[in-house]
Amino acid sequence: MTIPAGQASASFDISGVADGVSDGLVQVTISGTASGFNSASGRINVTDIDVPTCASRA
Amino acid sequence: MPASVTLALGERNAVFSLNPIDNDLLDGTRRVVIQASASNYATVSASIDVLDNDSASLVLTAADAVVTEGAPSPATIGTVSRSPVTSRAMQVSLTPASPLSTPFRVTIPAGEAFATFNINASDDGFVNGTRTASLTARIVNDVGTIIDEGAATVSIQVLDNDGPTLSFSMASDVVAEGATVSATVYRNTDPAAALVVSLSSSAPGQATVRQA
Repeated sequence: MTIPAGQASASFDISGVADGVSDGLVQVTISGTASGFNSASGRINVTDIDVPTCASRA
Repeated sequence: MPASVTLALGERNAVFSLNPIDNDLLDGTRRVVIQASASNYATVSASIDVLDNDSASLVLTAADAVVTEGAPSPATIGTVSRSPVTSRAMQVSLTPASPLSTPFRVTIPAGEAFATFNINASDDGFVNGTRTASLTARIVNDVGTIIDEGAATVSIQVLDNDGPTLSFSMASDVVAEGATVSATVYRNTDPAAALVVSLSSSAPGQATVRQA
């Protein structure tokens, strides 16, 4: 992404991926790097929307 | 001035003297209202400005001509001196330019010639290089007014302690699968040119990033 000339910041979106797996809360680190800059990082918790399911065996 | 005057029989006026009192106070120009009243006559008044013949001047110095942003307190020590030295304490108003900070006021004790105070330089978090910041000391006169007469200024060089750095803010630190949270990336440098920032996720299978 690009921070435009004349601006000190730019917006972006962080999206949780619906992975279809019951994997609970997952902590993800988002990083931002640019040449000549100290990098930025932030943590976000991705909450699970999947619940364990039971399947009957024939 | 006299408490009363007498208009002699046949006279339409009387002359009297006004004698300003030398109070040895730094109290600036004061407007004085003179009133005259007599039985069966309407009261009349007139005003006159009494100029102050007292003055003082300050000298302001800093122990260091150069300080660094975010240096431990105190970054340096300021000294404000007065002339003449009197038996009364003197309040001095301090006005620092950013990023310097000082006490709002400092008192030179009665009979003393000077007072010292801490000078600090706040860390503004921006890459803005070495710059010069001024600090001005003004006398608070004996009636509590800050006056420019006798003021003193010192200039201090402030070194930048910041390097080019990116930072984030996020609308939330939680996002559900299938949902989106907005975030912002900031730079602390001169924004004259566009800057390409690479964004990444430590777990792309769990969270992804894209420009809004």
